[in-house]
Amino acid sequence: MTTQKPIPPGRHHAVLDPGLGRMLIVSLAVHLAVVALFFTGLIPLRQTPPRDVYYVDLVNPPVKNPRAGRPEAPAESPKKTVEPPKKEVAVKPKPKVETPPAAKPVTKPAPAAKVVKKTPEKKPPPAKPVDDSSVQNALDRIRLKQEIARMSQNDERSSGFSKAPLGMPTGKGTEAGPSQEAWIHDFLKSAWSLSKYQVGRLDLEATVQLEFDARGNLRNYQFLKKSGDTRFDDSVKKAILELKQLPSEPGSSFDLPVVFNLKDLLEK
Amino acid sequence: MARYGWIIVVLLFAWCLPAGAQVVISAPGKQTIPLAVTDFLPMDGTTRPEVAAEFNEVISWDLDLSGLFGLIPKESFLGDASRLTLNSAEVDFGQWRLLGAEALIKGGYSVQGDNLIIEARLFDVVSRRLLTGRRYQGKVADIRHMGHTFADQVLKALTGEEGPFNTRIAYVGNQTGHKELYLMDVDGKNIKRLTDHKSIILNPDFSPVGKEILFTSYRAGNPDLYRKEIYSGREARYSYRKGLNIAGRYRADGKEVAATLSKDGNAEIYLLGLDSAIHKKLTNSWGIDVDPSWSPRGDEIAFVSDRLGNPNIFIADVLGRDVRRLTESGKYNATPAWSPKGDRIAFARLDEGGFNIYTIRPDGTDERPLTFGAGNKEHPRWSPDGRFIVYSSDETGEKALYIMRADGSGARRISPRGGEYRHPAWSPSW
Amino acid sequence: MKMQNVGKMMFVAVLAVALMAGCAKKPAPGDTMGTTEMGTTQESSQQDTGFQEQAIQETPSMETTTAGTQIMGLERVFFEFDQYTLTPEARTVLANNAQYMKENPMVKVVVEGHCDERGSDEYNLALGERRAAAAKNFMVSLGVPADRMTIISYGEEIPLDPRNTEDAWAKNRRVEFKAVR
Repeated sequence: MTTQKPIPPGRHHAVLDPGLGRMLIVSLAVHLAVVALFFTGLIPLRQTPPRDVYYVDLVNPPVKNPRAGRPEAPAESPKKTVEPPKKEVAVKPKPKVETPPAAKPVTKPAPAAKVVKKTPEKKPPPAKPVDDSSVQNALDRIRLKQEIARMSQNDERSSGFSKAPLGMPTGKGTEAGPSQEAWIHDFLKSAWSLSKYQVGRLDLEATVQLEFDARGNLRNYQFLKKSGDTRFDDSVKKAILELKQLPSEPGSSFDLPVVFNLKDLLEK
Repeated sequence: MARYGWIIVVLLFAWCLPAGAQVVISAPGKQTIPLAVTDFLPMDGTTRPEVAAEFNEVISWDLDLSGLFGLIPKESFLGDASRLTLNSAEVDFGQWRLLGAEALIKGGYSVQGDNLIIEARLFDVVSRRLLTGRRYQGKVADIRHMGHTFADQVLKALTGEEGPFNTRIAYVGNQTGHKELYLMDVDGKNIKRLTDHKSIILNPDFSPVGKEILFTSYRAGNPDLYRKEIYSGREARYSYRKGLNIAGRYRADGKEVAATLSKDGNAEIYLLGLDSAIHKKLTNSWGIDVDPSWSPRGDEIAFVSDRLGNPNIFIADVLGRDVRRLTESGKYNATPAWSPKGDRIAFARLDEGGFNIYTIRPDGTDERPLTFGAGNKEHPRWSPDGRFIVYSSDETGEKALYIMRADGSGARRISPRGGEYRHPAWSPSW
Repeated sequence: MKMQNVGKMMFVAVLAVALMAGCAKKPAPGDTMGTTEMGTTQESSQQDTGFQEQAIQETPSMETTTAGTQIMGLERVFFEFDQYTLTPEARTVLANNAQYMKENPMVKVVVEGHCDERGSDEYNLALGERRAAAAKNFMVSLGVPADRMTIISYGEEIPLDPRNTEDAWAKNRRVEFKAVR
């Protein structure tokens, strides 16, 4: 920025400086030293806490006891039980368009040799009155399912990848599908609408206890901890009210605390 | 208990209670509010589409700048947009939900000669209720200010704090061939010239109370400070001591002014009463001390000084003699502007590429660049609510005025083409 | 000689007018604003017709300041970026200027300090003042009476070359000598 002083005359010719070799050696040594330092752990590397990884299955209804499966998990069967791998590709197109219950499961629970005590649901939850948007959603979902089914059939011919068991990447259980918690996380996150310009600060956090009955209905919710910002708390409440029912029956009632915060917005 | 073990593995909660699962959602899925802004409809049969279009343009511009909203394209609107249903009982909220809208603006207008009535409503589509409703009655020429006023109310309804859109921005323009003082709306419209000094005018500042403005002018052959009432046009030379009389800034209560004077040969910062009497000499150093900016509480003043070599920003305690250095990095830091909430100070830093705008906490931590790239971005000034910053930039080759959000997003040019637009100052609520 | 006398008289007259204008100031504005409601009608009527404005507008002092005539024989001097110290070249020029001033004892000048467009405007106003003061003080040290030179800073407001180049900036960091009329 400042006006440069004129370069002093001389030293214009590029003669190989005897100091060059020395400098190169010094440079090499310094670089090696830095690499060495890096491995000794003397340099405090910033440890970012691992982000929660959620595997969200938009096609299959959530299950209580998910098993491992693609895409991330290895193709080996999670249980030592013998399972016909063909059956694992469980997604099937649903041709009937006029049955719209959004929560209808399409995945048949895999015929596990060792039957879990509480078998996952086999019947769809009773059809509930629908408004136009849920019809839309249901139609979209059905279309998506057909699409995926077609794709996975194609896959079957081209690669064995799709033969991998279907389930949560980190699942350990027996059922195909995402975990209930992951599904709830995904649903609430997409239903939660709040602009950072609506709240004065980003270090807000609220915890809400969700109470589901055995059929998957949201029976009650209560704030275990409010954020103190009414707009924040209102937006959380609105998101929760969208979640009336789980798409599959959990089989037993359960409570689940859900924490809402803006941590992802903190660092730009 | 054991059957929950897998959940812990799945969810990786470092701080999770060992006994139970818990779901953490660390950001909303929708970070803007989907908003539908309909064209207002005639309430008495007289159709004036240009009136509706202008009102729509004003509020859409304001609300888009706010960053709160995602505007739903008009093309997707269904039948309810063309029905004058202004009661929450009549609005077909189902249609708007279908489009994904969560907020909806509807309204009507009536034009009789020069007179204009506007009814504007903001609805919450999810809960199907009216959030705010306003009726404006005035002249057709007031339509833009009605729009800005309604946008301010929309922000109030959704954030609890009124918007800053019905305000003015003062600036120095050279469109007459001289550097005169002008006023514009926040969107750069309704430009009005305030002075006819045929000289050089610099650095305006609005009084926080009353529609009054303080600026420097060379009209009498010396850089003197002037005060001017905006409505009456009355003007008085405020400080015309020998040497510099520049950079006047009102305290938040409007009762005292900080300014740079060089009456004793060196540029120092003084505190002056409204009668121009010197209350205090705030700085006393061999260096140049300029550009004061009050903290909102009026207890501290940020200013520029080269007492340690390069121009840097310092903060002086108004009561005591304590002066501390604020900016530690950069070779050239200038034009501090303390935010109205007091939490940050905006300033311009000169580096290899030119000036860029930064903000920093008053304790010197958390410095953040807000602008990047070529050109000089200078003279940051806050909106009265602290949501936005107006600044001057020559990034296109012309000296123009821009507005951005306080986090640096959403920057847009507000001044029209032609001539220079510099030294912006944002008025309080008008 | 005659001309300079007339100039001197006019300067005095200007000062007198300015002083009178200053004394005739109304009490500070602020008490009389009754209307606060929104309205373009009010704003459009406020097109700056304050009476005090006209009183000073007639004075010729403006022309002296913004378009003052360069005096033949008094050369400009230039400065480094963000500096007000005199370069050896500047000292040579100023010595010549001082010589001219001593040979023309009736000449009175305004020493104008200017900056390039980089840097904060207000900081540059102060910097320009320092440049003007440095030039004046040097000439005083060479025997020119201080009361024949007044200083003023224009900061970056009146560039010689408005372009955005290193060359233009170098031209704009300057002190000029203008006749007092």
